[in-house]
Amino acid sequence: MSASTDLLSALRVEGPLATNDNSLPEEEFRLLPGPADWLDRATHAYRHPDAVAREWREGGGRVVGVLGHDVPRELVLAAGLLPIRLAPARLLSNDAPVVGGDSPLQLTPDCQAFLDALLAGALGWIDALVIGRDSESHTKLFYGLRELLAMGEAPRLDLCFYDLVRLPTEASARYNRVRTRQFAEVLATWSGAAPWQDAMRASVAASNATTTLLEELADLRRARPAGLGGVDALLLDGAAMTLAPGATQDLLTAALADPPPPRPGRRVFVSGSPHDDLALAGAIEGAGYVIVGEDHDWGDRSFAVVPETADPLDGLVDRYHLGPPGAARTGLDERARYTCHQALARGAEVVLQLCFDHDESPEWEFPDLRDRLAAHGVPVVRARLPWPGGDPGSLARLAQDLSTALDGPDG
Amino acid sequence: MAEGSAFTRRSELAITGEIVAHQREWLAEVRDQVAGGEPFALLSADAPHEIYRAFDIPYVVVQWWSSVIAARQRAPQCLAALRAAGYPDDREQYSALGLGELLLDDPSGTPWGGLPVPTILSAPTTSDGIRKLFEAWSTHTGAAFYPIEHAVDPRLDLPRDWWERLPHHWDECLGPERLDLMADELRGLIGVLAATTGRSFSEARFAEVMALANEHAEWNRKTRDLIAATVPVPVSAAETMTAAMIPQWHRGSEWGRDTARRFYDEVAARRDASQSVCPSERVRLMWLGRALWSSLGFYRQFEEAHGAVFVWSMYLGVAADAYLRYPDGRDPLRTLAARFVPMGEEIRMPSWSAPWHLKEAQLHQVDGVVSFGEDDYFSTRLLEAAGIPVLSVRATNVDRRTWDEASLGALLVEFIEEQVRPRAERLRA
Repeated sequence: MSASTDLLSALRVEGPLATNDNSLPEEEFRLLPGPADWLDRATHAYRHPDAVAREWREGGGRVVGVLGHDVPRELVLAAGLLPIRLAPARLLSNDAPVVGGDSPLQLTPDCQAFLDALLAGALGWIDALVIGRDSESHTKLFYGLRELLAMGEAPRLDLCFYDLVRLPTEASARYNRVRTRQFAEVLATWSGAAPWQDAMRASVAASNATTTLLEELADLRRARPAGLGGVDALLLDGAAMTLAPGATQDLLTAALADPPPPRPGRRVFVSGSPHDDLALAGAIEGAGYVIVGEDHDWGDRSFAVVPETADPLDGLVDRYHLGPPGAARTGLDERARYTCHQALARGAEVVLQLCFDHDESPEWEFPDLRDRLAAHGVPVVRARLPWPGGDPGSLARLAQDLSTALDGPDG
Repeated sequence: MAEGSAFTRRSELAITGEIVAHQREWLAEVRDQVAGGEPFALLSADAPHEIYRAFDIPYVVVQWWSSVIAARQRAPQCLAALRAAGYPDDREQYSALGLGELLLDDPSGTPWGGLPVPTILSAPTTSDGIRKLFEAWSTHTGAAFYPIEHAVDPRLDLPRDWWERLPHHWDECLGPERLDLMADELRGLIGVLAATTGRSFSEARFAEVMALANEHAEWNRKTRDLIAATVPVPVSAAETMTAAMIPQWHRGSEWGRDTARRFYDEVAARRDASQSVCPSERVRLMWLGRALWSSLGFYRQFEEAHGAVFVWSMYLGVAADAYLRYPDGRDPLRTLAARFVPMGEEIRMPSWSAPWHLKEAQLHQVDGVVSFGEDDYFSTRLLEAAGIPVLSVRATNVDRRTWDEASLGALLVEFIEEQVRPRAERLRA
């Protein structure tokens, strides 16, 4: 796709799912009945964002790698660019020789894995990179990358740090608007086309249409028994952060039209650190539980309606500034209220707070969360794990802890 | 301040004892005032203290209080209390010990007679956990919590010599966006404090506070320069940590300014009398990181046997370089914003911290650097490229589970003898 392609059509049908000359098997794209089709397509987008990007670029478009949730992807789309959210855990499994382990820059392991991938050339499929201030580990990564670029020790790329502040005040709202307009100017230089208001309105409308579909999928998770498991939900959410809106809507519509069979199991709500891979959710559901919701930004927190405002930028900023709170950078009360509400709304029998070793924030929530949910008879189990997930032994203990919380030690 | 550690600090300056004594008396007075219904604030070190000073609201800095708790060897119990309440005991420790002490609820062992119950808590949102920690503190005390928004500088190319530019050219150096936000935050804070305490904010008083804070910083800069230029060093970093830090938390007061001047006078007198803490000085060391408050005497154990003396810590370094902001006819509130927008970036944002660490190391004629618990990758590279060896230690100053004096001491001796002393001898041959 070229940057000058009609925006509305781009939002509806562009991307690999609608591209004719692509290198992927045709069956990847056809809207066939049956769960295998949408599941395969979601899995492909989730596992191979590089392939999605290559297809997009072959059509003449440019791809913006987005590290973090707190970046208005609608603005990127309005500039005629495809935003693809980057998942460090999944970059680890790419073909490039990515090295994890100790971080000389003292970055968190997810940020170090991302930097390793970038330095190893594993991100050659993005044209530009925007880092969102989801957590201060991202800030630190930006500081380090800025230095490496200045020293000529990182591949040259278009880079932007998007500083979204989170206090719910007028001063913060004003600052966020200033930074968002600056971000739009950067995007304009990357795309050659300014993200004007009409394009933003179209982009917001497309985003809200996607959100409506994701909300319908969330309704399946609310059902008893759940009509959609946590792994499938994370796959679909992840695919929605990779594909263009038109392709995303096709995918979600297909999933809604032919959902998997209802999934029995004790109902777990997952709180804590964002986990950007399916291994943890898979281990929990593999032990017979069903994850009915989560409060991190690779799952339920990733979508929210953008308010319609006279200047679409206002609604966009408000959605990210005041939207569902993440564990990092938000307040204790705000976050505990949100998680408690979500867990109860999903009919959770137990809340599992999963915190990665490096994550500074979510563990402060535990006493509040425990006390609030105790009033509703919902226990909270917490576990600290190395990123991106624990070993089989620790995951087995996790399942045992859930069982003990629900049924007691003899259950 | 080290009380009960393996290494007792030998006092070097009369002023240090006076500072500690004054702080104890001051805290006792504050306790009485708070008992009488006066407001009292617990603030992070990087909160805008000058606003509280202008309102005459007494405050204690939580990181200083952590240093007192650590010096009393009470940190392990405080961390255990956090853990028992369900909070993490290995996050934000330098800020969280005070909450741990509150939860410990053991007045018999509390240092210095204990903190008054705060009515106000405030901290900028500089880390992922700090807002939640302070909210938890607020829950347990009933104090109002005022978070201050902290913004990040997203520019790809920054001026690096911030210590030269910020005092007078802060608006050009920092850019308008973050200054606007912080100035808005300060106006909001003033409104909230006026409404909640019933006190008035006087612009004239605030201007006086700002002028005193600059005078205070000017004396610290003179002291820093004097220490940097004097061989052998008249006073060790172990001494200046306390002598610089406690008055820093009285910034904007006459006592703070006058104490900084008397600190300078005493160091200058030692220089003039050719008095040195380590007359046989052969190696000058820099301590990069937070102080070992539970063992300040630790720093001096290398002087006699190895001729190695710590001449620098960030406490006087930051006090000398990071606070000066002159209004030069501009809005005093915006000038204060310029002090707090970059607070902490000078020592932890590599575009600024690395060149500053090198500048300070060269100014102080440092032969080796011990980096303790710091994000030091870029500083280490720059220092080593300049020929200055660095020993990097991964540990947390107030968590004794992460270090002990014997192992750390052995590491330092090896570093001094194998890397630092040979270099120093070569240079001075």
